[in-house]
Amino acid sequence: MTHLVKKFQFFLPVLAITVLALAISCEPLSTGFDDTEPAQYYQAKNIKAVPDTFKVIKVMTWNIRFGAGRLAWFGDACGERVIFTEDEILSVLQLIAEKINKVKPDVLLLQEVDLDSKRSAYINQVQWILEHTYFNYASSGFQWKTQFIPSDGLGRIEETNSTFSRWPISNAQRIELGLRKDQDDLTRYFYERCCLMSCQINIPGVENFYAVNIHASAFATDDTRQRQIIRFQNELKRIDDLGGWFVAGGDLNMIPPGSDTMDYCLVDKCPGESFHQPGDIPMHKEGSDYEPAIHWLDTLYTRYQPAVPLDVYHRSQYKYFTHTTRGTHFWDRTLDYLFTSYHWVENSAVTYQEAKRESDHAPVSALFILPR
Amino acid sequence: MNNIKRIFLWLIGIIAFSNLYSQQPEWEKYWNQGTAYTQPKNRCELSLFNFSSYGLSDNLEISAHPLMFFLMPQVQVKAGWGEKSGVLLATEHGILYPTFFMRTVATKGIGGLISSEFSIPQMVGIYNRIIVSHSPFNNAIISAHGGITFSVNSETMDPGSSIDLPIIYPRLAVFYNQPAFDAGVDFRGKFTPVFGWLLSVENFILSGTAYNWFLQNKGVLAYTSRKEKLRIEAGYKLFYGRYPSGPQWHLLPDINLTFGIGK
Repeated sequence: MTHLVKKFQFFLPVLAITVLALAISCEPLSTGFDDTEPAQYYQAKNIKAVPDTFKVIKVMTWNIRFGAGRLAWFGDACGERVIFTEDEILSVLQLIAEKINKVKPDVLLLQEVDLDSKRSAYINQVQWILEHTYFNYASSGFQWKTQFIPSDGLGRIEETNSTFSRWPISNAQRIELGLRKDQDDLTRYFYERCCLMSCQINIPGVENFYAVNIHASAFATDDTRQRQIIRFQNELKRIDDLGGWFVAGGDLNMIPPGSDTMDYCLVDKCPGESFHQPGDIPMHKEGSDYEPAIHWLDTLYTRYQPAVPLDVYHRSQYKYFTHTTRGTHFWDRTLDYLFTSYHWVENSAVTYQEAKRESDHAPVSALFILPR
Repeated sequence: MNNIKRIFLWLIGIIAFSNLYSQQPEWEKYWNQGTAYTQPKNRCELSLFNFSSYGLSDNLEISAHPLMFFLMPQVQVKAGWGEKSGVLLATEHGILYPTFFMRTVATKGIGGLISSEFSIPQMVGIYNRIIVSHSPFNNAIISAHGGITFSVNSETMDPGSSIDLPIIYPRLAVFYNQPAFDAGVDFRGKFTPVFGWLLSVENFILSGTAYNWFLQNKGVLAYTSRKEKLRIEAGYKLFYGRYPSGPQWHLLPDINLTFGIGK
């Protein structure tokens, strides 16, 4: 402990100078956001023609883990790696693009898409995916935008939730979901700021059609995720009240109500960690105990149409698992969802569990009947 | 256009005004970092946030950074080679050892500017610079310099271990790609015997990488005590750089306090 204090004192002047210097630079050290802000738009260099005879479109959600695939990152997989090489990231992005081109969704909700991050070799992944798939348009909202994180060698991070579409996107908004309250002020300042991305997809002949893309907090131990889900529901209600239709989905970081397993602390623990034993502080691993949140998704299931209905999920839960924290494990829980205020084609939902190398999340798709 | 004329007339006015008031003989010899002048023998200038220097003889001085010395030792000498046709010539030669600093900040948790997954080899940077100075007016000095830096590494550095921050990145980039070149202009003078100014532009050009150009512009106003015992500088530093993450601008304050000991 004394050693740590000494070390911290040693770093304090260096950190203070760095923080002071960067705080007044042309770009804030860590970017905060208003409750609602316009999102960023992207467009492919070559726009591909789209037939306007669609009656049904395929919608897919996927947390692509910033193109790191199943590599052992220090932040979420007990890994030692922090910074990945350009070759490593590009080879995973290539796998992701191949999967997208094979599944062929028409609207794609991606989470953890990096723009300009040191950990992912500063590749603009939104533009890269646009140029390596058939999508024409994309819109992004920052989940994390920090010029320099003076911890663990992370450096610059720009992570987004990005929505891709064959058709033009308009009215794209980034909506703040609320910060974690279980962190100290300094950590919270540099930490991710969870958001949802809401935008209008302009399919010819379809009025007021929205896509809502969310990534809720993974590691909050307080009621942060509950507040975030309420904010998500408020946005869906706003679209309802406008007379619009939506497809909504993403990584909610919560398991479905009635799941058999709710505590993954022992599955997720890293070497040297201990949980559930007398005297363990904390008793549960951050982000691995879903029991307190087990009913936070009830309203969503009641109010809207899930791509995978609860009774279908309950019959064979393992078929719909979309996530694992270990590079060598198979999927062991469901965190990724699709909902709509209109109709899915019955039994059209697919969980692509064979996509094991691309990310620590499996993509989920469903066919949406267009409200023409 | 009128604004440019106005600024030009102001500059002429300031220079003319300062010509009347600054009659301090040999003021160029003091606070001369960035110029081809060297300090008088045995004079020491102790700076808080800049290099501190000591006159070994009337045309040879040695300098080091007081705060950074213990983290990133760097020592340089400046040798004056005399004056020809009103142009003063000096050369600067330095050595930099960044390994200790980089190993210290290659750590987990707070203070980790570099990921601990990278090993930092033993490295030494060696730089040589030529500086020329000329006084176009009684109270002003214009200097230009150009230099080249090489590094000697015991192992190749992984590009992921770079610290992509202004000030630090361009100065450590030579340990990833070499050689690095620097060139710049320094223009300084006095309004009155105790108040002066300094404007400088510094370019760093790196070879072997696309992130290869960094520019640093400094502007300060300075107070100097009449007996050259104290100098206080305050102003700005503007940075532009092509970092691995793309082009970036940074505007930082520049404050410095230097004490002069000896004549």
